[in-house]
Amino acid sequence: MKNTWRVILSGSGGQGMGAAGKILAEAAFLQGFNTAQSQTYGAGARGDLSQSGIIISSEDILFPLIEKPDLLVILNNKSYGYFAPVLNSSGNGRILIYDQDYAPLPKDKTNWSSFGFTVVNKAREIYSEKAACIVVLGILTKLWIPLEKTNIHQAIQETFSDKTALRNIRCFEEGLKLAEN
Amino acid sequence: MTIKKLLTGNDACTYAAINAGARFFAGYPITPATEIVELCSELMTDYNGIFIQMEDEIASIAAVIGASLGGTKAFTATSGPGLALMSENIGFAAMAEVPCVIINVQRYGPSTGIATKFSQSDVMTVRWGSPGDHSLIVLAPSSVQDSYDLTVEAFNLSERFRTPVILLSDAALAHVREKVEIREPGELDLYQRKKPSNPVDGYLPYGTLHNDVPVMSNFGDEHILRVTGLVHQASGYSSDNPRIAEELVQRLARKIDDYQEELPAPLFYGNQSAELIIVSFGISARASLEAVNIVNKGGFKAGMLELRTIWPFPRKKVKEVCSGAKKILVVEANHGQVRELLISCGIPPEKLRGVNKQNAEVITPSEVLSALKEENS
Amino acid sequence: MPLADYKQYVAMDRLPSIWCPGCGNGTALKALALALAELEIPPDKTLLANGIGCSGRVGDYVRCHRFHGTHGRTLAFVTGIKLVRPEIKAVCFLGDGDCAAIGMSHFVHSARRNVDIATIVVNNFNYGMTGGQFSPLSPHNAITSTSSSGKPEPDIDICKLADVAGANYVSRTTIYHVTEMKNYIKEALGKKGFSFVEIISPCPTYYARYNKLGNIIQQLEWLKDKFIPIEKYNQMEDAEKENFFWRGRLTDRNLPDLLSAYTLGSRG
Repeated sequence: MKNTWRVILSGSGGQGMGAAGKILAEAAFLQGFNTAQSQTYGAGARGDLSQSGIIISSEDILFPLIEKPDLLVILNNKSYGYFAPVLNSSGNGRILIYDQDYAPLPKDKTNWSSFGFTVVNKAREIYSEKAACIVVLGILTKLWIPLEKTNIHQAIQETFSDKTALRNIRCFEEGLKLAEN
Repeated sequence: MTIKKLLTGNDACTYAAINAGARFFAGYPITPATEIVELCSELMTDYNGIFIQMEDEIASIAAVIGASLGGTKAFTATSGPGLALMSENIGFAAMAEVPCVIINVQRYGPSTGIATKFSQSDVMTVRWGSPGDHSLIVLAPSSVQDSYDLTVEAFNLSERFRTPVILLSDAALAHVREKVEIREPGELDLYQRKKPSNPVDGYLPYGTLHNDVPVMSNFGDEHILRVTGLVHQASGYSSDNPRIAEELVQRLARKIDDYQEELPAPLFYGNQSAELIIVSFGISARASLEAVNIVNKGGFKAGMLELRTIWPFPRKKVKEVCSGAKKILVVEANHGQVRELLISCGIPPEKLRGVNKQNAEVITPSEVLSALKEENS
Repeated sequence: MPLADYKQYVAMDRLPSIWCPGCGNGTALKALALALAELEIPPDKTLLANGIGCSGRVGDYVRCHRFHGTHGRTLAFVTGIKLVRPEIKAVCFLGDGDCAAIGMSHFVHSARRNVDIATIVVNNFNYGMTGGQFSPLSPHNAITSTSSSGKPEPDIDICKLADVAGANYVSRTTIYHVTEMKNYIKEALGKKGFSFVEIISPCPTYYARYNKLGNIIQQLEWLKDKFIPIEKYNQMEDAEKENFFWRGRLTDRNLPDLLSAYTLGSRG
């Protein structure tokens, strides 16, 4: 049984990488997992390439940063360049999730199991691109990471003020639905 | 009460300072230490303390020293370029024997370097940045929990030894979010600064020593305090007498160096009888630990010594652990600053292998692992 | 109060001082001690903080709390002290180099914050302790150890700067005008917020010698003649002003000091 998940969310600054990473880590923490979360700082967080890494484990986390993710989420084309070495390496059991509109999977790019979703446009439709990664959280927790829905809700409520929290919860729920289809 | 929370390294340092009793923060915004400045601006108000954003780092450490001399536990936070500006006044605090804590969140240098990126290259700067002979305490945390615990310890040691204590954090540790158990003041062992019990008349600020540390009053107390960065007599008045100068400067070193058993000891992980030993600190010790764990599970034997007190350098323990090793790997994200210290301990250079990285990224477990495997083959 | 009471602030047993005969620092210290005595501020509630240089040695001759920091940073240190011990009467006793060169930034920001410190600058137009180099306050064209053919840079009116920066009280006098000096210091000590007194002082060893200002009596006469009341100075034609300097009270107001503003701002 899998007991450690290493997740990297990668996209453009302003797509909620930092907030979603923090929420995922908080939800895992609420559920009793060990967790470590990190994110890129600086110009990246203001519109360039931006990333957040989350380790969730039922064991002690010795090294808190991610060398190679088990779950890689890509929301912009630029991220393919950055992760080329990782995606060219063995994909044994590793999963790539990408935005099919803004980061369509280039041909023969990887031998990782890959899944495309309409994430960014969905977030825009319901609320804002800022919540793109919150939609992703719905997909991740439905398909791969066994976190309770209520814990994600609570983490969202702890992160945002009331009105914004409700909007983000809707984005998360939409992610759950996307994963069902 | 003990509370469990997810916090960044920077936040953990800030809560630790508050819980250790710090009620004064002066600072200047600098990446990657800024979050400490920001959080202090909120917390100090909540705790009836003082937050002040000064005009530069020189003024920040000066205000911290002033507040401490007024009797309040005080601290600041900065990074390389700011630390460089603070160095003259850190030397002043050492000379005048003023307790204070400086959180130095290392970033990539020299100079402005890459402001947002990681490095462990201030090992020597924190110790030798300020001119003149004196000792100094530097602690290096390797996790968010450690950031909390060692910040509390930094305040205790600064009060106990009346010296600046530098917490050597880094850009990676500062921003990673991990679980931390926050022990609140009731559960913390906090050292209270000794107060003079001498008669007020004729009180000599540097005249009564306790374990080589003067029992000093605070500004505004009945016992008149005299403080100077000049060589001074027990009265606190200046002097250029060679005998007084020598006695003072030697005591400044002795009061710390002769009491090293009171400082956080290095931690040993893995196999005591291993022929391959890693020496590391900070977040590089976490990568080393993962690598050591992997080899000890299946391959061969290795051990890891994590330095928590960097200065004074724990020579005795390092020599003891390294004496039986065939090869010692020094894992650090710099050109080899701790490696130099191991050489100065008398460890033959040919027994040492540096595992270094200077590209502004952290050293990873797989990099340590390959170095271990190479040495084993 | 009897005159003798000023001695409770002065370490008489440590005299004579290291200052050169004719130097103004001792006179300024006595004026300060007299002002403290008249205001009856207890020595254990008085802090004398000084910088580096000739004026930096003043702390070796006092009986109150004494702080002697690093060159130029005195005001920053004392800002920290005052914020945690507001009951202390803090006096910063600085030189022109210490305050207006290396410490200029802290000077401007302390005035801007209006931190409750009385700052006295003994301006002897040069760095005496290091051998008579020019400071930002040395007059334009002054001869010094680092300007043997005349200081090429203009000077700055530090009082006007303190005023613009936000000080609550600013005045200027000279070592010659002893009663005025004591009174101005007293006014500064009584003022809440940042108060500033510039005292023009002779440096017989370097500045006066290099600039041929004569013996100490002639130097005091120079101070007496050249420094005229601000009211009189302001009425002069610009050409005439070239030959004189003003002395007097420039600023006297009651803006909230740093700690009041801090307390109101964050908890009000």
